[in-house]
Amino acid sequence: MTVQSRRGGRVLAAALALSFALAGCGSSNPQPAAPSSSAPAPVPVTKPFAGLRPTQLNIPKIGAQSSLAAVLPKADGGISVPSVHTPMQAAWYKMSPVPGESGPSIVLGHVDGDKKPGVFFKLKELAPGDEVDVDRSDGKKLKFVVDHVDQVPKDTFPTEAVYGNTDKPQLRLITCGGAFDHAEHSYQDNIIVYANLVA
Amino acid sequence: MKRTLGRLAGAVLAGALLTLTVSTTANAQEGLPTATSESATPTSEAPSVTTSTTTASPTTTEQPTQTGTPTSTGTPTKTGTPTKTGTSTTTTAPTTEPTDPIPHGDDYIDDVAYAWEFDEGQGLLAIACAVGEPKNVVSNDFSVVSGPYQDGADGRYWGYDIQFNEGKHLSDDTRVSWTCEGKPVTKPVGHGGGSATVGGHSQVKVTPKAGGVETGGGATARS
Repeated sequence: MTVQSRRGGRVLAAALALSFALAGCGSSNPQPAAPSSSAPAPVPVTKPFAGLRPTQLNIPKIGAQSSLAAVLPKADGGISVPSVHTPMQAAWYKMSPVPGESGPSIVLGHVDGDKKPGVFFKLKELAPGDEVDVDRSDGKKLKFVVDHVDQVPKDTFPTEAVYGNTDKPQLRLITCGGAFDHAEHSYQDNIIVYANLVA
Repeated sequence: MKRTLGRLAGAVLAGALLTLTVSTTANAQEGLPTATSESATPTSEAPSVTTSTTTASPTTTEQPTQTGTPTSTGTPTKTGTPTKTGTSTTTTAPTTEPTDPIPHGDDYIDDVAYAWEFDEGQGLLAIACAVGEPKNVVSNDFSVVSGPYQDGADGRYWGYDIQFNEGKHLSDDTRVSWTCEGKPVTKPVGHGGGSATVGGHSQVKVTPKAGGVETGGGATARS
């Protein structure tokens, strides 16, 4: 991303934050679902990816449950994440392996949004041995077990450890954490849960 | 006291004059369209009804001519660098126009396409079409294998699994045509960000850019 576009993004984020504040919302997300002035209202997702995919996530220990939206990469190289207005919606990054296949399957969820805790609000409470269940569109029910949990600054995000190839089917659960940078409207860290398929 | 009253009266008078001036101006402005509306209606008002169609169609016709020419120097499309080379008096000038046809996060741009190429000529194409599903997606450089499906987080983006034709790769010359709400569009395909692995076998087909993932609004932040 160029410095110019980043500046533009900050200006836009600031404008959005202001509009949210005026609307009574305490915060915004740098990647809002709201359209820019040049675009009509977002169209509803009526034709989601229908191939083999994870459909449901359940993490008993923290009471996290959500269907899984299949999301694409964004043009700038980021991952498209659900709107902060639907903070309980988790998402599977479609360019990562389907859970159960070899490789790191990437699942994202908000820590909060729209003045409410998000689906991964308690993600950082997970510990080695905790269970993560994933249902797939082919009817398979998979059980993963947490290997370890990391909290890392976003600017030193461990790209290789998270997205690099693995020998076995694994899961990466990612959300935000750490201190909130009000100027950037962004948490400074990511919480990453690494889990292995056991059944 | 007298002076104070005098100033007050002056202020009231000035206010009245100001009000008069403003209302006259307002009336004049209101009057303008009425005066010219008969002649202006056919041309000036029509676009406001069909903004998306009218604004997009010129772009469609502009793009092919401009990006079609710099075949040899097509590389500058992604960054602002072409401005430097564009200053020469040769034919590189048009490179500035398609500098960044890619929508970046918040800056949604309709009617653009971008893609990633992975192993063995496979790829992902994404088309931004806010009005609904694009139709008749065709390219000389690749074929559509499956799709479209919407991005689960933003329904304005439509994804296609694609296969590049023999000997073809994603380049600045890659183009695609489609119809968006019946309106034909032909555009160069932007290079999606992040890193797509060509040649190696990566389980994550498009590795997101560095910098972490944005998944919070700050509602529960303590600092």
